Amino acid sequence: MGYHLAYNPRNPGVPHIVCNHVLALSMIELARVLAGDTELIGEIRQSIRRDDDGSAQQLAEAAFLPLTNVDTAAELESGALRRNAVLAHGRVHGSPSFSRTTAASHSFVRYSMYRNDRRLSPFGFIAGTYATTIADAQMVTCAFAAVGRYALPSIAPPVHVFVDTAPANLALQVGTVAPANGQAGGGTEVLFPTGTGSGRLPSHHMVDEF
Amino acid sequence: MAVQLPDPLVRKLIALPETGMGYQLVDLSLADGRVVRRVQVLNSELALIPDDFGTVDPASVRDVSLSPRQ
Repeated sequence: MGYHLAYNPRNPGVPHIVCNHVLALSMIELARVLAGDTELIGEIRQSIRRDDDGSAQQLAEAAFLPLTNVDTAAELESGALRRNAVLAHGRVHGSPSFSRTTAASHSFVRYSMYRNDRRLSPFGFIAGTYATTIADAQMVTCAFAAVGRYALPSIAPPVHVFVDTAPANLALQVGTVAPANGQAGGGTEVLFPTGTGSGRLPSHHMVDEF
Repeated sequence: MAVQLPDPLVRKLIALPETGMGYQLVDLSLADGRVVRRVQVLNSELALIPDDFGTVDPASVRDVSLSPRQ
């Protein structure tokens, strides 16, 4: 949603992801983004901000246009370009993480196969723990839905649910779950580099397997 | 095969960040010098070693480290 694949005639061997019809990234640049190239990510965010006054479009036009749009009926029908791009580069989706801070009373949810989940402590989720947001968890109606949405290893359904409320202004990383473990991903994932520091053991309840 | 890691290695993994919700990708160092790369470990304790690597004695696992991101 919000992008398409296209070729730059000046560099026809390399497909580009074009966001919002104005910001073009080659697959090589996309790989740098996915690898966490902070300089390039910063440039892209600057470009997106500049788009408020239309200058990003001018930037894109100067650098990349004219683009040959490959979303023709034939290409869409065959799906070959997308399939080949995915095969060649591993993944098209996958979000670089964004640094954010919590607002007051932000709650987070963690799905686990284990009742004795080792990322829990009497002070909340420990450092380096992944969870999701309350808003995203509304989409998860059962444990197997969590497996798909958060691209979890699927040897057992994560029926144990832990909820913790983080204090305000807590630093976290947030992004979109990339495909992994044979699952689609697509949910929102949050990483707490320093833990939640809530000062309490996360609450526990269970969901149905299916 | 699934291998339960010894307690010292479990404690080491608990101190390291996850790769995704509920699991870590690690390189396992074995006593015979072999390294099993990108092994999925659930809950910092259960290592899922690919079958094509053969049998691994749990007592032969000497160390773990997080696998580099690909």
